[in-house]
Amino acid sequence: MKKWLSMLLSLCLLLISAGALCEGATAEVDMSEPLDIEVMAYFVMDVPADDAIVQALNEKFNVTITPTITNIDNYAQTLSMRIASGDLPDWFRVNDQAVFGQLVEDNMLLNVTQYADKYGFENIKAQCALPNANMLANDGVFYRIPDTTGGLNPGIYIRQDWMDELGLEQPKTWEDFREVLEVFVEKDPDGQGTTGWTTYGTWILDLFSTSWTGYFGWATSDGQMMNMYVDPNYKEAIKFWAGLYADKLLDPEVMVNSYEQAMQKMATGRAGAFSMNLSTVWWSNNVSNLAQYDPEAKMGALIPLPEGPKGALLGRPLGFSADSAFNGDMDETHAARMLAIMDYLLSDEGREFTLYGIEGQHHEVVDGKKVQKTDVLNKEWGQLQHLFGELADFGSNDMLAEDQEVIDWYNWVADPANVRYDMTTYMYDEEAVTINAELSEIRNNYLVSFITGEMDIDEKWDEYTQAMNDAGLPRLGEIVAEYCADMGVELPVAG
Amino acid sequence: MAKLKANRPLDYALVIFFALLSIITLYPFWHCLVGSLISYGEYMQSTLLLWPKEFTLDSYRFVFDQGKIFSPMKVTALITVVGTAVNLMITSLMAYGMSKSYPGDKLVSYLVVLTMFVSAGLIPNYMLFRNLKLLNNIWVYIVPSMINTFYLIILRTNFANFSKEVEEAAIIDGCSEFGVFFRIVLPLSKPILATIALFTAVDYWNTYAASVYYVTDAGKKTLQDYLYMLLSDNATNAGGMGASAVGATAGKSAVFSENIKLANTMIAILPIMLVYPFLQKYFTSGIMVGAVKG
Amino acid sequence: MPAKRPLARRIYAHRHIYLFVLPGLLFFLVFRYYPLYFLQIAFRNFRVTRPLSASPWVGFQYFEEVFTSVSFQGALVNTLVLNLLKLLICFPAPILLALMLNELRSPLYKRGVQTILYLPHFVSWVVIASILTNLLSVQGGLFNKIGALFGAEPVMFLGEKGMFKIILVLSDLWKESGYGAIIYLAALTAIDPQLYEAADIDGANRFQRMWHITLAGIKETVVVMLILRVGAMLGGSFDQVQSLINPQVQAAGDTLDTFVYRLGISQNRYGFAAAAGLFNSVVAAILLFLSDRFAKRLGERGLF
Repeated sequence: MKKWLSMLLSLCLLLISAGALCEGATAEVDMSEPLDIEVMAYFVMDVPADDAIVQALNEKFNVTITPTITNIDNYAQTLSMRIASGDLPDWFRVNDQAVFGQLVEDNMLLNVTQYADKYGFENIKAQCALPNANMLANDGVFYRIPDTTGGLNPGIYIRQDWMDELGLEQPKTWEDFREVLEVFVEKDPDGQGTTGWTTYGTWILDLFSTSWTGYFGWATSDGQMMNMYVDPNYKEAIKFWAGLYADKLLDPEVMVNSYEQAMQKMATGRAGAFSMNLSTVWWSNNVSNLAQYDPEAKMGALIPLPEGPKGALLGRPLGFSADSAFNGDMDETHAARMLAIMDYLLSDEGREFTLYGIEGQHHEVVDGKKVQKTDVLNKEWGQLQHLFGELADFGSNDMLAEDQEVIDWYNWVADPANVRYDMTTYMYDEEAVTINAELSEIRNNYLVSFITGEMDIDEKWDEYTQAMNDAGLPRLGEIVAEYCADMGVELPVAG
Repeated sequence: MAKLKANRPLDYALVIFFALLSIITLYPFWHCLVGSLISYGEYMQSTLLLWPKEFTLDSYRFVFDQGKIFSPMKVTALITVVGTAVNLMITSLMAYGMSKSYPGDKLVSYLVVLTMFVSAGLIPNYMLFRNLKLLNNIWVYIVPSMINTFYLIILRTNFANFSKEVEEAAIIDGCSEFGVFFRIVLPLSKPILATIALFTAVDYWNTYAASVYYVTDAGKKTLQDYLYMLLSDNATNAGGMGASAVGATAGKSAVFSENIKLANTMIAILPIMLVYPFLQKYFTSGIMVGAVKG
Repeated sequence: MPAKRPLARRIYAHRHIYLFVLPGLLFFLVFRYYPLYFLQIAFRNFRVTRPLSASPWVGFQYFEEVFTSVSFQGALVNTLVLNLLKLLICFPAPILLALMLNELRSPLYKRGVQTILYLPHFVSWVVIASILTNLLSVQGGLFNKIGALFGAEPVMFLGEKGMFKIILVLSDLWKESGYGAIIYLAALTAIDPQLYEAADIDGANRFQRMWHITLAGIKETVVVMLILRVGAMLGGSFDQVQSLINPQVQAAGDTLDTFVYRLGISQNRYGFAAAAGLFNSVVAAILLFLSDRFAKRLGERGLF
């Protein structure tokens, strides 16, 4: 009898504990102990000790957050030094693939997926499930939390008042755009000697070249790996840009300009079209600059982009940047607390908090809508999104968009039919880094000369592709193919 | 200055030459001065800055806003004064020693000069400073830069040229080696010391990298670092070079950034510029007159 | 044959000197030589996540990468040519300037001019670059405007490969000559004025005075500066070139420093950067040694 009872008892206990496990109960984050957290990031300014948002977070999570800020130029070095001296920060941004790859290989980072599962951090999980975010994972595990760039993409600004004045219609194709530029240059409405289209560097043109190639980065062709930069369709794109340059429709100083100079040209009537990031901030900057110069002038944007042979397309690297990673050498309470903060920042409430701050101090409510006090924010935060908002998800910025042009642009870019991503953006391989460095050198030399007309494209194209192949392009292709196979990425077909 | 045979036409030619040269050389500075006093709108529209159409102190107001600039200014002023003093003392001591001949002088020369062309980089320095507890410490600005090899060589050359007779005379009079150094050589080397003091002060005033990499406390950052942060290079935000750039700066960005850069330059330059005229009084000749005869 | 006093005796005789020299030497050993153990990364596959000792040895792999890089030769040639040009033009300029300033009659005018001439030194290359870009712009830049007056076609100065080195040299001249003259001015004050009087009495004219007395007086300083300059043949000008360079003129303007920065440092390729740095240092040391030897042959004291 006793045996029976004890067996029954143990069976019951077994069933109960099994039941508890099966319910998938997530653990609770223990908030009892006050903890110190060091956050290292690059940001536009130092975060003062009395920052309101940081203090609110400190109170809410029973922590003391110490931000360590450097400017973006020196960030990579500073982080490297900390790592090299064995002094990894608790929470830090990673914007360098090599450093990240090495940290993962040497087991120095926190397994975010594990914690997110264990503690039920839904917002973190949602962030990790964003389209293409899986490219940031290593073997399905996330060691960094994706931080999107949102709608930050280069577009084409245009002098809408010139278009109206000259009776020009929105260009549909790149050929149409060329015609518009021709009229701009010939008529020179502001009399300043316009240069047509200006920008600052030819890399932006590469993004637009996607309308010729149909992809950005790598593709397959007849079962072989094809790199955009040696694709015959890319050659056609280059010919087009070279044509613009030769006819002075593209600013002859396009490679000499700094972004400030290009902005200046656009704002003072010395350019009719301009390419740079079209986002809330930069749009308003360029518009206000133009208004200062001429209150009657009107800024427009070309949405959708002009069409090339493959349609209206924009090429982009994958849209994540400076994702947060965490020191793996931390006890569970500490780690859970940090991720809890991150989870909160990624929630709707958290995102709003880091954009709008505290009512009365950072924003006002007008007609039921929150309106930022931009003067205050620029002073206190250095920009219109708090450090912790940017740390969590820069893309939250998109919520601030009010100008129709910006909203339209964000919508257009968000449509996967219009954008072609380079799926190898987050690939890390030592050999690839070395080969790529050399390829960049060759590419820059030739492409710059092709565009300025110094070298004839048809004559020298084969020499160029040969040089690229000799420098290791096929080997790079192999590495990329392996990577894509591992990550389950299917490359588009070229041609 | 004794009356030497004059050459009138040459004099006039020199005066005119230097007047022209001054105008050309003054332009970059003038450009910064004017640029810092005009609005961005005006700046955008002029290729050559000659005179402000409309004065405005907005750029300076922005930089001095919130009084946050005063702490870094104090830090920089402090390290400039202390650093120059320490540097000058140690460097001149060593330079004087090196100007003599003694067993091992060649070796020391080699060891010293070679360091000018080989450096280990940021990471080993960081680790060394960490071990020496120099990180996040005001002394990190002073101790690792206590001797500038280039200035050391200049001083050594000058000390080597110092009249031997004067030194020997002093020793005969019972002066110790240190006495000779402090009471005879140093006072009579004022011009070169003033020069090195100026150069050293300028170097310390411009301290930037150490503040970025080795210091984390906001209260210990230098002026140049603060000014640079104020500007925060927007280029990567503007263009998004690769996928590595995030961080928009609204309102204050390009609308101001050119003018602010120039205002920064003026703030960084002005104090150190004012030092030179004061040092000029040391650049007098005739110091050796009578010294040898005695 | 008189024997040299034994070493120990000589050291003791000069013991005071060591007191002068040793503190400085200690500084060098701690802050300059000790960190050099890190130069090993030129021979090891180093990553920041592992200690140096755990990094595998790769021999001369990085040196190979540096020397076989497509841009290496160009960078090397550019660096040598640029530095040679600067040696010929920018090196003598401060000396000439100092000499001419010395001849000015009015002390007040002299002071004023000196103060103005040394100002551009304090303006950073980044700011100078933006000033220059404006001045040299093909769209309404000052130089082109002046050229238009003479009927010349607008030239895109900063885009011309042939012009880039000249722009570098001239802008360096503009920016640094005044500041560089200060050292020579200081050296000039050490010349005994009585020598001038004596020469005057002997009937020497201005130029003769300048040659025999002034120049002779600062000769040592000039020689030392020259030797150091020759030693720096493979380096220098990073700030200047980096601020002014653009893709169009890269072939003409890329120097070893910018090459190493672009391919090594900015990509965290530590081995590459270290190998290039080591190469640079070795060549510099050799050049230094050779030019010192040469100077000694000519009867100068030299550097060592």
